Amino acid sequence: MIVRMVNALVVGVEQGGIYSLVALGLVTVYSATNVFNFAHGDLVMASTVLTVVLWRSFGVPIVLAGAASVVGVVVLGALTERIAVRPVLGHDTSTGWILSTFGVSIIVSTSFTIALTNGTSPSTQRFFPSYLPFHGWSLGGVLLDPNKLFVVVVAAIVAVLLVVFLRRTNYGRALRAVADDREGAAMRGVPVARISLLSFVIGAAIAGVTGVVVGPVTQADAGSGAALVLKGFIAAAVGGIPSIEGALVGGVVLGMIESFIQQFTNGKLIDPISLAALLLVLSIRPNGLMGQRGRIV
Amino acid sequence: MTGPASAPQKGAVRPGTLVVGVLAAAAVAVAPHVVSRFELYTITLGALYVIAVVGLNILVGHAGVISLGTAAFAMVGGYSVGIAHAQWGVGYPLGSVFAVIVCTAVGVATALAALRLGAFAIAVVTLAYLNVATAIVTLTTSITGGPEGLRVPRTGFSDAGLWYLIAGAAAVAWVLHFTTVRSPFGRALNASRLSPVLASSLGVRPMGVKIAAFAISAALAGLAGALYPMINGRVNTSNFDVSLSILLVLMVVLGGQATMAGPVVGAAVLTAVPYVLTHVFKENGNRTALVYGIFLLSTVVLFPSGLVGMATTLLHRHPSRSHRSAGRLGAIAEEAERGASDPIEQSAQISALLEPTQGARLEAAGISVSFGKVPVLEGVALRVQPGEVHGLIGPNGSGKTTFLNCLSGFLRAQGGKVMLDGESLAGTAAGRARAGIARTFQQPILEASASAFANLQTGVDANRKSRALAYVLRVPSARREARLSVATTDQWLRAVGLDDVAGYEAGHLPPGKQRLLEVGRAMATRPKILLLDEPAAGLTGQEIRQLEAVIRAAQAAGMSILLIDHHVDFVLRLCDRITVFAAGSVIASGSPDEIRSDAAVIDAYLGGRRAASNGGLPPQPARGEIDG
Repeated sequence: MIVRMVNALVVGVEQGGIYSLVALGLVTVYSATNVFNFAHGDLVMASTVLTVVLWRSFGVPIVLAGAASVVGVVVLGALTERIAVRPVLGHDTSTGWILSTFGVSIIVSTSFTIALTNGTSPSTQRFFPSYLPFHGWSLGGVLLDPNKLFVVVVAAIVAVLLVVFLRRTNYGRALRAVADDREGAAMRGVPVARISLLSFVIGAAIAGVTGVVVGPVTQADAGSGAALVLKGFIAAAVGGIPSIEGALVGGVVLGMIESFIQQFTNGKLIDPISLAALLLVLSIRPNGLMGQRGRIV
Repeated sequence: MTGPASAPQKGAVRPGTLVVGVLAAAAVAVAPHVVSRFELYTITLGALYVIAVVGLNILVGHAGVISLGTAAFAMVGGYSVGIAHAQWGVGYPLGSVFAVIVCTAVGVATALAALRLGAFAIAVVTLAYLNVATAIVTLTTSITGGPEGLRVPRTGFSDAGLWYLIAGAAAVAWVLHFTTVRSPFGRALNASRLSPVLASSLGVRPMGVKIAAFAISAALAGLAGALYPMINGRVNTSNFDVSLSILLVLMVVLGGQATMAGPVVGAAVLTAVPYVLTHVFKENGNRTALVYGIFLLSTVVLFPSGLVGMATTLLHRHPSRSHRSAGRLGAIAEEAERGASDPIEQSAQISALLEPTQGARLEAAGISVSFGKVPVLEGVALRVQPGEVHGLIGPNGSGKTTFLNCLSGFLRAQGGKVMLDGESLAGTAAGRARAGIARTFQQPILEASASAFANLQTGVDANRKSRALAYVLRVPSARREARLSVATTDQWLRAVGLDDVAGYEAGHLPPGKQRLLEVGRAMATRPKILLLDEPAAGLTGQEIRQLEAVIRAAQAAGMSILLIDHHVDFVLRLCDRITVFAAGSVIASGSPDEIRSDAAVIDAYLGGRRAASNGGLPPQPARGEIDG
């Protein structure tokens, strides 16, 4: 029993690393633009698929394949900002960006589905082998998966870098200023358009890195984007949007909840229960675990 | 009122509408005789889509809330009918009622829980609903029959009979959607979408109306899902997939969000597109989904008002985009500049409109606010007597607007209390608006793309007595009230001198007219006290005199008014008493004469030395602003 509990904890942290990384990417874009990129999960998926296809099918070394995928996804992110987000921010329907980035999400995921199913395989999935030179460890019955632990380490590093960037650099402060008051920041000489683009580039870079490091854990699947963006958003909301620390913690909390459901109940209940957990946390703490009260007017 | 501007608002059915209606009915009647069996199946499905899409139009188009879970609600509806049939042996009518009740309850619960997280949360959470619903179905196979589902025999309907039934249901749903959107509830939804602050200031609870919109949309999705087994003969999970949810949202967006014909046009086009893709181009599902994605992105970015919006623009049906162009608006503005409306007549009109109003006594005591560690208001007290015009002046940053936000409930003070006629006020902005506090904003908040008439009518709506449902069902008392509301709105527009621009988009009006429109809208709620935040800012001299006449008329009718402004001469001329703020505290309070010669006031405004040599504020200062 104790071993099962500890295993559930470890798996929760490991699984949570993925959600934290997705949440960090979502929150980065949101913190500058007040926009959540619905296609963020698909950018992660695109990076995973591109990496494994370049690596396994074209024989590109893994490091180069990963780097190329990140670059490719950054280009996609920048295009999303230019084509789908910036034009709609001026419209008088405040929700245009949800629909337009959802449109991008559909386009990216169906394009990858078509590309993957058109070749030799009818499947939308590809095998993504481990690229770390370690195998799993077992400590008294508790299993440690190096690939998953690597994801957690990367999530923590990304979070630290983001905190330093947002609080210590001029560009980071400009990002927060734009989120707080777009017009006010523009009047004080902040290049709002460039900052908005920058936030999408950083968000997409995080998505790209996420896609590369989670590959061996999640495998490559063209249809995985929607689930990733949902879990990432729940993690961010549970942690408290737009807190960076909250995104990190929220991901781990969500991972724990899921791994305990997996260990002790029916696996089919994961989605309903994680949604219920979100709604429960938010009804007790509407601003998440680490969020602050927003302004009223 | 003879202007054509408000004609579309009036209840009468226009001949064009009648012709379209008759043609549509004729098309429905002959359809089964002219199309193939499969085509009949396709259009029956299209009619079924319309039922869900009109609900989604209310939610997405008018409330600005995006649900990607319509397929899940439809699945709940379908399975509810299946279960009602298989478990309890009840037929379609009862089963459908059960389905609608279940879906409405789930919709309300979702909206209650997720709406305060914002529109994106609703979109993401509802997208996951299909997985949740499928998981629940799989886990309760003994009741639901699992993913293979349940057989539901279609009792006694031929293919043509089914088409008539579903087309009829779609027509009823569309008409109810029409009356809903044209009701005060529809206008409250629009206001809540465009600005929750505006909606609250008019006594509308933005969350409340959005939850109601979600319930309507869920109920109609459930109804559509409940009718689906009639076409198919059974219900199973594969009937409802994510691409169905996407398709339904796309129907709203492509047809034209928040337009009347949009849902029908969108459903028609997107029922035809897959038909053409699969039967002409022999396509599989993936490329259809790609086409949907491209449609969605390009419509939202390039034509946010959809096909109907585009057609409307092309046909120049919209008054402000056609013959009533900006040139004519300029001419009207010049005309207004030359000959102002008669102040005596204006005053009489406003008195008549406000007649039984009793101005309230507003007392605020010990109001303290700080933003973080910065104190903004420190124990401020102020009293407005019934029927008094009370001025509030002070240098920039002295806390005037913050104080007004506390009075109107948009900001919670850390200390102190606000009383209206001796009753302590608590709670939300919408609650205070309902208690009789109306306000305007430093930057006027108007529905820019709606007409001046529609903007003012949202103020008149605050006085409605009939329930929202009475309006939707057009019961006689609500119809009477609706006619009265149109007449009252026309009278208000005339009273504030805007009758000649009633049909123009508010966003196209010159700043002065926007101010008057906002003041008129606030007055039309017939408040006990009106809070005006810099109403004269940016107005021309002529417009200021017009505004002054309107304020005097409201005072004559008995309304209490608290007036913030930087035009000191305007405030001195208009107010019975004046309170002066500086750095978050009251530094003086008294009659205009007392304020004019008050040493502390002169000091705060002009600085000690200059004040001494000038001997006080000028008794009749030249027109202009005095800023801190």
